[in-house]
Amino acid sequence: MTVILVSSDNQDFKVDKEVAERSILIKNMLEDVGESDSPIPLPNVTSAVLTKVIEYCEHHRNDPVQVPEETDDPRKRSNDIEEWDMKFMQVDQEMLFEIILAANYLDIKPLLDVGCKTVANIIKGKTPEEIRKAFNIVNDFTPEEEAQIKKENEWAEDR
Amino acid sequence: MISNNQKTPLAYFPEILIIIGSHLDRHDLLSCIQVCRFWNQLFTPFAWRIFDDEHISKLAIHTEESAIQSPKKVLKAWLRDVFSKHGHHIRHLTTHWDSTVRAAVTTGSCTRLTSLTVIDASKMRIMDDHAEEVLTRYQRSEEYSNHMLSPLLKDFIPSVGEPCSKDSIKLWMTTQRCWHLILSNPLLESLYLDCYAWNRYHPIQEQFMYDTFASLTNLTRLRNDFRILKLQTLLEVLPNLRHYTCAYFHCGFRRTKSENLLLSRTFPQLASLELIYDQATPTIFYNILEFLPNLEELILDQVCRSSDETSSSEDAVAGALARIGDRPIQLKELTLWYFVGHSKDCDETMERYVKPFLPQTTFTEWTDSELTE
Repeated sequence: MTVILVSSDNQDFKVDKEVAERSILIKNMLEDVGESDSPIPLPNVTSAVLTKVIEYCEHHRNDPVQVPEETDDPRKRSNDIEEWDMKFMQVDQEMLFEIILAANYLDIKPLLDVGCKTVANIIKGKTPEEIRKAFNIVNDFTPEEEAQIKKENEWAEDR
Repeated sequence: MISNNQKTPLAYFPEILIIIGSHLDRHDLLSCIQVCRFWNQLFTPFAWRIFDDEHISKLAIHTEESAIQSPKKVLKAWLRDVFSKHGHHIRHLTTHWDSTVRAAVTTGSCTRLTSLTVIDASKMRIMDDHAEEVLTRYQRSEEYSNHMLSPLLKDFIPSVGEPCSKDSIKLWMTTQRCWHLILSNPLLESLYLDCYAWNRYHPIQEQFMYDTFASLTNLTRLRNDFRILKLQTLLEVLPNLRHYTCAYFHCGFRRTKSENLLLSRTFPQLASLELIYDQATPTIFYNILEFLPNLEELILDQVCRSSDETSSSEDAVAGALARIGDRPIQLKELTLWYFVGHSKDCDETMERYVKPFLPQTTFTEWTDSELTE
């Protein structure tokens, strides 16, 4: 069985139901409408991004449902990206962000997670100024605030 | 359309930033909170989730102020300042210093810990210059006797008459603050007290420890190097305890006093038990297996019959095995350290009383040569 997804720029994507249902949003929509072959509009996702998302869902179509693991050790979690996923995420930053936003909107938890881990890896080892540059963020602290925050927080020894 | 809007980059979506934050370690989070006001607000709780005072770089704290003030004072003031601001974010606290415990207690902000580790007091840098003065004031005051009866202070009574060195008073004050901190954190799931030396001068009362642990209903993991407790009583007050370790070694190696270990009813909660410096007789060993049916891991110094116990061992082992009956013994791993050294007696005990009855168990037996290598 197939479903038709329509991107924001009005392109149709014909995909297996099993693949489309990796998205919890689409899964719920299909359940609500019941048997129907009317196309599903995704006004928040462009065709370029949707192509990538479908590629991911195709590759992971048979994955078991993830059990969220509660751990407070971040090092254990950010280094465990699968090789295929790592290659899949080698895109420019703008595309990476759009994939993350689409995964969030479409409710595809594993894709959202891999995306966030990839961003976390970009942040790792950077100074505040380097992070601002990487994410195009304006420093809106007053010099006094900046000094105070530095004093409170620059205590961790490099190791 | 969110994804096409260049004015709203990812850096401003809190829901997603929080997921990203959960993949960062403390060091990177501390950089994140210096990026901008929005990130500061968002990442501050993450950045302060874990606090280990060993990571404090004194160079970073002692900037221009250290020129006029003593390094101790700068550090103390810094600790007080950050604990009053961020103490309520901390969930995992590891401390080596009295000053940290003190900042956590006096600011009253550190009450939502799920794990607390207090490391070896003999290495602890004690910086409490006022301890003696405070104590003298206590002794002179009218409330002295009342204070002495409060649970946090009553342990001091037996040693009031003794001449106490300044260091011992400091240790005692630190100990009291540490227990204060434990009592202020009813959500603790994991507690590690690696501070046997504190108990040398003014031992904490056993009953006080049981009463304190009883208030920690979420506690699943406990390492207590503070003082030897009765296992039965401990398991009665901690119905959710899964892992218990006791490495109380400053009094040297010894044969376990049986009354500290012998159980008289079943405790299904415990999955691992480490009594690193204890030697158990076959009687105690099978008593443990009988009443801890879900125990998977056991660590002892050795299992060895005492010279006066030969015939009673036979009976006790046979009795315990009969009572265990068909119930499978869950013990997966038995580790024996042999710090005291291997003797003919322990080999014989293992071959005769232990190994034949535990076909499913993996044995790890360290010998002296392996340890010294």
